[in-house]
Amino acid sequence: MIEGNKIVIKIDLAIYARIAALKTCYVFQDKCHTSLEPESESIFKVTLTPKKGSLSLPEIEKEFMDELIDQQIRVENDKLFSNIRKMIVEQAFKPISFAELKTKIRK
Amino acid sequence: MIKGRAYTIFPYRFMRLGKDILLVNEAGEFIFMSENDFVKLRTYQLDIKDEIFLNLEIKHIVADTDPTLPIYLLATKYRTKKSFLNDFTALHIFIITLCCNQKCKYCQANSEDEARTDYDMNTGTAKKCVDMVFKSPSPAIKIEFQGGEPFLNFETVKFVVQYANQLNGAYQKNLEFVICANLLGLNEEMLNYLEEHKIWVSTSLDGPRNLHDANRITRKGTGTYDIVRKNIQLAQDKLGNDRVSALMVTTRDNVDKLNDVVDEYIEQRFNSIFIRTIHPFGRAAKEKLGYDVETFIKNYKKTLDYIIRLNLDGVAFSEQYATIILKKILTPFATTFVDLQSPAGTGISCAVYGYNGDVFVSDEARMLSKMGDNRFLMGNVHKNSYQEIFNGKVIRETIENSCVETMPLCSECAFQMYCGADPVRNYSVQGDLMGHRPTSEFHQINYLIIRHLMELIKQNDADIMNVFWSWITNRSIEEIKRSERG
Repeated sequence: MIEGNKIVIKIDLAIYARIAALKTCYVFQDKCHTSLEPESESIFKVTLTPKKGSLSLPEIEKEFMDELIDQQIRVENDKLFSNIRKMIVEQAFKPISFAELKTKIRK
Repeated sequence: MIKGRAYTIFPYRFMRLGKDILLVNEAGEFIFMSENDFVKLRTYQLDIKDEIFLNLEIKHIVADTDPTLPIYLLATKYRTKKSFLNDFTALHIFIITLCCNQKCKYCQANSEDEARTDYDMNTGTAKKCVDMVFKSPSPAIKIEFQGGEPFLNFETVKFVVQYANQLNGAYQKNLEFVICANLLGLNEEMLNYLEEHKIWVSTSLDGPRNLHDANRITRKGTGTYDIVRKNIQLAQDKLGNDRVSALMVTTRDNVDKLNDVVDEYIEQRFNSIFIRTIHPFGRAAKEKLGYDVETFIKNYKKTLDYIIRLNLDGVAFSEQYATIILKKILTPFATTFVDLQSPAGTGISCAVYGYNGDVFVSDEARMLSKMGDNRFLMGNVHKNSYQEIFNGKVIRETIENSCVETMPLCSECAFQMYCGADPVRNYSVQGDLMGHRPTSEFHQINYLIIRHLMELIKQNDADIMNVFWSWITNRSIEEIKRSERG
């Protein structure tokens, strides 16, 4: 929602993780001053104030929502992949045999 | 594999590029896919017989069989990409003197008057530095002479070459020397010495006369173009074109004239250019020679396009920064470029020895010290042991804070495997080693250059890809075409 020279976005925490909202705000720090506050237990309120007057508010709002979805996917991916990532890096620098790796993965 | 699902998904990072999604696996291998396929992938709705599934499987992003092999292969490829970590410090920069016969407007080193001798590295310190260098476990050692103008203290250069060669008789390392000099005082005797000892020459050239002389001037304020041009030719004739290279600095004077700079490089028999941004150190921090990121990127893209067209018209000439990034994107290998590594090359790939024996994690760290901040001083060859310097608090802290894998924004960036961190620049510009990515020019420039190259790769234009492969493999476009035809 655009309010004067600000964009107010209410994020439903039942859909998006808090960390996804924070990461999205971080991405936008080059374009906007950002403030975050909990509106209720399940709603996170983000206020974006563009740093330059020439920026299009509706465009920023759309970009923010697109980025939020991507950040949410990344949060979900992180849950899915973090163990495998650790395993890949560990195997890269402290390799074990293929058979041992297979046993480790099964566990 | 999760029960009830036809395939396993392996780690990837993603980014939207136009209408497509770019997916990059843990080892930097990539694939473009449609939004629709991306949704199917994540919701386990891809048909394992579909072409897109097979393409993802080749990139180890999915597997419909035992996951051990993809993980094993990804780990091997990851190790190869990080192979720059294997051998520890290979590049050792010696600040032979702080004195210089030039007073460039953007001098990052805050050079001293050429008449002074109290800023010269003496042979006692040089000997200690060489002893320190040979404690590095790296089988390849490159000693780079910098300044100031290193030719002003040529006796110490000769001492280092002689002593390092003497030590190397026992160590048998792959030892190389490079002298980074403005060439103003180059003479026949020096050239003979460089030839005899196979020393590479790296000089500075900012473009044709008007652009070069805008910033690269003598202490009396006169231009240096004519003498530099003459001495580049002398060096090329004596040492061979391939042993002489040049670097340029992009300033507000030449940022919109980079095509002219390229033409000058070609005229002076160079076969590549490194379009470098100005660094905010030394005099460069005070003089208003900078430009905004948008201006730089707009002109970088324009000139990259110009260089690509030149290649397609038969002029073999490359842009080195693009080549480094393309190698990272298109090949399984690591590069030796210390400024774009994760962890950063500071100390572990490159170390800088000041004229007085102080050892810094990078040249920028030494410049910061000249400005009064010793944040990245690892120790001194006269006072500290190798362990104290190269296994001390400064190097550890610098490295710990330079892994893009753990940095905000970078940790989930699809370009992570192609990029790197610069903790010294972060500290110098933003006051902290990690830095603040959304407002970091270093981040913005790298992100936009990598994105531009990735967009060109996505276009998959055969001509442009042939040019890119010719840069990566250092072969002609004709050779690339022949190898494609098999």
